Amino acid sequence: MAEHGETTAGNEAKAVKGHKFLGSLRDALLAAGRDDEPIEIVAPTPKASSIAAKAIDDKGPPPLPKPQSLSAEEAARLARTAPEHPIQRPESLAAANDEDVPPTTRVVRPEKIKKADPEPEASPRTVLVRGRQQIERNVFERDPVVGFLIVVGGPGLGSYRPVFEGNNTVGRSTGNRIPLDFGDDAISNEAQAYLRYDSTDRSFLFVPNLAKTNVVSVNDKRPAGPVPLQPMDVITLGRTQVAFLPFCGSDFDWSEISEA
Amino acid sequence: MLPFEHAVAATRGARDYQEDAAAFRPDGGEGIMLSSEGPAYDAGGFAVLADGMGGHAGGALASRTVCEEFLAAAAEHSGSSVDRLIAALKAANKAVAGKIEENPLLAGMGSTLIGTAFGPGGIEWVSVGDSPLFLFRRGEVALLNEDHSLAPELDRMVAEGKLTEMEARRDPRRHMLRSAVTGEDIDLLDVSQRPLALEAGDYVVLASDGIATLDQTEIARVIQGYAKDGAAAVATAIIRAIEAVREPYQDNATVLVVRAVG
Repeated sequence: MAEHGETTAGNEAKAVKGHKFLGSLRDALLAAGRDDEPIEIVAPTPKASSIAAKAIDDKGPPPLPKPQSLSAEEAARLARTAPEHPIQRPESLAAANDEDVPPTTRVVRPEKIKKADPEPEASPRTVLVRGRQQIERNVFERDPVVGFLIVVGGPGLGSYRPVFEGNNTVGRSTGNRIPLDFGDDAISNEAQAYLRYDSTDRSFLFVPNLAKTNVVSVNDKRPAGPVPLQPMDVITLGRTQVAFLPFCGSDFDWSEISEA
Repeated sequence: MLPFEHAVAATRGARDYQEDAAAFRPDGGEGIMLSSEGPAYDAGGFAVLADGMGGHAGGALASRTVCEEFLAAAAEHSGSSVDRLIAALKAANKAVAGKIEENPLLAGMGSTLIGTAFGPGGIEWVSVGDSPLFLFRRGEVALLNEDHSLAPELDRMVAEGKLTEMEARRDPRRHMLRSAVTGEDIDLLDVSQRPLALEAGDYVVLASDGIATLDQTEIARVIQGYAKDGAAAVATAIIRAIEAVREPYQDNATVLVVRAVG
């Protein structure tokens, strides 16, 4: 039971039982946050695509073709910024020297309009940070992952799906919180089963949806009701088998580190 | 397949006249005045869209004149794309002045203009007025050109709390222009500062401000929905989406859609 009793700044480093790797995660995070070495943190990209920023998007291994090329907004910004030698605009076009001409129906002359400054964009450069870093840990930008399902048999073998806090529907369509969309048509489209993580008692519960066509099984049992899940339990849905791997549990929960 | 597919669709909205005009001229070809034709494929060329103003006859004449003259002049001139765009804009402006000189009753007519050069290096544009030029890429839409109406000014006032969002949206000044092609000197013009390289699947949309009935996310959604079906399907879908809103004072709306086939 290694204790971190003599950490120099020892303010937050609570002694945590270290018999499992998950148990020491909090320590590891806190220690990393107190590093005196300069750390480089990549500046967040200016506008993450807010439209599709659902947590469901970060499903497993076939990474959505998100090439490192410019997004629409970035490409637009680039085309609007001048290269080293700006284009000469013809004088006659740029000049606004006809103040005495009465305005036409829809045209107003710009004298009373102050041009709005183009808003300064977030700097694209990496921000150099030194010394101790305050690491944000109280705002989740997406649903926190509490575990994983890993496909160990059938279509999609080797892939994984995150399990999120709260209730997760498991089904074939991508609308499910845990989509098993690898092509197994023996899995119901919507909610073949539910997987629930309860952060108050830190337990995982697997609940089959009895209204669906195909029977699901957990470790060769065919439950008719909720069953608590243990690490490495194997769930069979249709012709697909997934193994369950928890991230949260008795040793760790997000509430421990999201200081709020 | 050739790299660019283009198509046009338009609606008169709630008006009984159409003051928008749009056309595409392939490199080395004839300018095509498009109303709602099917898609065409080209290796490059110039696209232009104009939203006329100044009453029934004037507005339509101005936008048509501007489009025709712009494409003709763009084809005549040589040099860099931007030079050709600016030369074409000047020629278009001069043509409007000429028409007004011929018939002084037309004084006050004018037009917005977006001129876009498509080529292997990407696209470049010149724009005067409030007709938006959009880039659609991977589900997102970005506005490329500068809006020369008072709308940005009103939006700034909203941000400062001087106006509510609703007031700003309804404000008639929203459609007043700080700059337009009227035959006089052009007060403001927006020119691309460097070519924007296109990727396969990108859509470039030249539109008249009647498209403002849809906000940018709606436009993105519509394009996304039809992105696989090509420029003609996207153009019609945008116009149908505008018509579906049934805005009582819907302005003319025209879109010229160009897809980078790649």
